[in-house]
Amino acid sequence: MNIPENVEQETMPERLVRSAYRAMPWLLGFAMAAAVFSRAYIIRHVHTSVSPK
Amino acid sequence: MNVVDGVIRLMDGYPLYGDPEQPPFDIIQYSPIHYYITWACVEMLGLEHDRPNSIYMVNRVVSLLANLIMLWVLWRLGVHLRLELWLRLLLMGLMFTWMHEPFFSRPDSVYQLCCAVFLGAALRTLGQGKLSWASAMRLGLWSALVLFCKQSGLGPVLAVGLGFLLTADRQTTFRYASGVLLFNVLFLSALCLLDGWHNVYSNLVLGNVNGFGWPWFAFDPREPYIGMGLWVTPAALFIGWRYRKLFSTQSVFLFIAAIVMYVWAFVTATKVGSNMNYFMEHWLVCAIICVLFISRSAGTLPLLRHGLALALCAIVLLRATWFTKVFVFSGYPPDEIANYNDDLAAIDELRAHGLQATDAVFVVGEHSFIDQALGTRAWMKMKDIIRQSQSNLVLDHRILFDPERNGQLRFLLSADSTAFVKLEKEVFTGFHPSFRPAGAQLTSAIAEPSRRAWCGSNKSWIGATLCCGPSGSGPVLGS
Repeated sequence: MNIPENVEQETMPERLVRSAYRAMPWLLGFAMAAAVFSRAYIIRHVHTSVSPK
Repeated sequence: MNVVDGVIRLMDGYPLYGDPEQPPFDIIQYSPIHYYITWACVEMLGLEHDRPNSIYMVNRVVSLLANLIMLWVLWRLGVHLRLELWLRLLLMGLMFTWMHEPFFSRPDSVYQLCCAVFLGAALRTLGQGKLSWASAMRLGLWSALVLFCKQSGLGPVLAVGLGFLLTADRQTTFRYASGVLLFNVLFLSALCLLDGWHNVYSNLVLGNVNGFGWPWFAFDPREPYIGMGLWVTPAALFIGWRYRKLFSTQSVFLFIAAIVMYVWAFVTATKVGSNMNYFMEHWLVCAIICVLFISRSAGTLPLLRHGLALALCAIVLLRATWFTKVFVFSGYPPDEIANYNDDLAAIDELRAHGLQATDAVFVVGEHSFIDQALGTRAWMKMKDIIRQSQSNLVLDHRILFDPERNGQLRFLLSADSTAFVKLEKEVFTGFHPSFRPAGAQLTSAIAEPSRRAWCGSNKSWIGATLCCGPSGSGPVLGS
């Protein structure tokens, strides 16, 4: 990502984009953790398939 | 479910691929690697199929572990491609959340892991100039692992070959083709020696002739195009070609691979019974193209770059939400455990009414735990495959019910008191019950008096013995 050397000169859209990029690793990490948890959750279910009917 | 049936064959000492037209009439549709891995884990844990859910659990654990190892492979690939941390996470998140139900307990997970390693190895060799013999042999080994996880691996193997043909020199292509041929012939020879070439052909080729259909593309665009992200295809192809100079040597290769894999996936997904999982290799290439573009276009093309990044992150978040909502919060109907226990209780009742260790059982209906708890003693478990089959496999169902030819088949179970057996266009009737739960009504025309029926449990399983009829009298269930 591009972080300007002088952050104070950033416009509002640029600041928003920079904040969004900074948040992305956290968002993606959280989403993946939730998805992995969901996969682990269904392991013990009694079902011939993996989809709820 | 049919994957677990394959594992059960191995547990009972049968070869994975047997003759589908002989007892127990199993059809194993996929290449063997996932079956053998799951079987090895089941054997190490000392599990038995009389409690079949334990095999499902092992199967799901193997699949999830394969998915997690694949994430590690993608992380390493991201490091090799010099992607930023969040782009590596984006690539991993896209692939993990795109892997829907077919990846939870089927060969697709191990297959996808092998595909990721295979594609990663191919991408690495592109940056090294000429392909050495050692690298060619490594690629050949991985291509065999891909193909022997699932037959549709032929698509990625051809795509990489075409990529080499169009982007590298002839020597590289020749060495790649040599490695692929060598290892695939070796693997195929070993499999044919183990199970017999006729059985391998009957299961892996004829067992997959299911007919043509394309509901995934034609009828509900929300599922493939929006829900599963098939819109990424045109985006990745546009970017892969229009901005190919940003990716250096890998661009044309990735573009070719994406197109070949899309065509291959589209063709193979038109088989009845297939799913969007056939597009996963294509999506892997598309995801690599997209994250490479986002990484390499920093400082230029802000609108396209930010828009694509935002859209891909939104996909990961939406898919993760879907996973959590469906599998954690929606949960499963409470009667699932009751049904499971009813199925197992039905077997205990059968034993109480004379089921011997050498007797075989036919269960009317599809997807019952009884089939798996009985293992290879349950005949013709894969009725859904047989129903869909357009080949000539197992079409003469009279063989199944002929006491002269199949004397081991003694019991028939049905959950419906007015059931009859309908296989393809044949309907088998003539059923005499000897015991059933209170309230269950059988409206049968009585067949031979020597045949007896059984009912039990909340599911009202009904049973009949089959072996006592006169020769040539035919099958017995119905009303």
